[in-house]
Amino acid sequence: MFRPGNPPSKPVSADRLLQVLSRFKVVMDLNMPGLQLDGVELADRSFYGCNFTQSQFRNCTIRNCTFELCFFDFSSHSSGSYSDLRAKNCVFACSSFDRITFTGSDLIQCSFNGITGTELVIDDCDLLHSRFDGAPNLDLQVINCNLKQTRFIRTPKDRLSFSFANEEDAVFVDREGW
Amino acid sequence: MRVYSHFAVNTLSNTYLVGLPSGRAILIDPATFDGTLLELIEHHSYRVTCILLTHSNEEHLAGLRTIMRVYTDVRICAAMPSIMDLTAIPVTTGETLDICESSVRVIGMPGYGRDAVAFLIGGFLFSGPALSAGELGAVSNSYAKAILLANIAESILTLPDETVILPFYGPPTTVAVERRTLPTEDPQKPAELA
Repeated sequence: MFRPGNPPSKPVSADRLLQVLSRFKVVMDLNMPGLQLDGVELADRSFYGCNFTQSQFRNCTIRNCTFELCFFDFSSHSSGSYSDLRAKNCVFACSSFDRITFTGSDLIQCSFNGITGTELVIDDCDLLHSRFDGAPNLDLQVINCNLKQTRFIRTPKDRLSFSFANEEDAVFVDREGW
Repeated sequence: MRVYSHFAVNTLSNTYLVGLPSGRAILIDPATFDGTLLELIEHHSYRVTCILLTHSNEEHLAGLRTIMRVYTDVRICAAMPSIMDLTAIPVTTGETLDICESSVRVIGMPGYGRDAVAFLIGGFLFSGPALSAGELGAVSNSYAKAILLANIAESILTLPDETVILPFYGPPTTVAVERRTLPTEDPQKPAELA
């Protein structure tokens, strides 16, 4: 896993990332905060312990990729399609999502706390034990998803839309009344 | 140093493995010990030599006895000197331990319990159940909550932004994220602590 506080893997650039991905199917410990990707397609790769905090993903397609212990906090995602992902223990907290669709993905125990979203759609995904807490400006459409122990605490329910999802297994109120 | 996480579906909790260049490894909060965790350790040929416990709730340490049978010469470090009849090396708040060539800083979690601590190892904070992403751990009363919150504000939210927080429950997070998302206003906070 990347070491917090260590200098980034230089240079932090889309070209450098694509160069790495052309050589390796499995990428570990990559530290690329502030990465800017525009119109990039990522497919069939695995990322472990990578850091992409404060990055920008515009018009990106990400499919059939594995992400474990990866950090995308304070990042911005717009007009993208993310499908067939296997994400576990990933951090998307405090990020913005504008016209993003997640489909057919496992998003297990991921943090989406404090995110903002417009036209964010999560379709046919497993959201087991993930958190969407403290997101007052989140417009989210959840379709056909597993919501077992998925949390939406301090996130207004009236801006969330659920269809064909086990909403009753999600958590909307903190047991201690925060 | 490499950090791996193991998510136990039966307890919905996390155990962490810190692998060191020497091949030794530290296990943190073994809530369960199953084939997946064993494979994680053995696949990397690690030798577990130390177990750090952030708290001593026996229900959260079901894997401890098994690990002690599998791996010999393992020492346990915790705030309490004895856990499940196993002897532990007691740690105290503010102490810096030298464990398996790593420097481990002990941060107390008063409010959550007298047995609760967090461990800071090289930019990774293992916070136990007292702090998880966007949430304080469950405490018995509002005084305890105020004390825990004050301690977290002073000891944890002052760490560098990029410090990764790895909790017992739920997804990982960072100090920068928690500064933004952790609720700091308790509607039930007693006036004298406000």
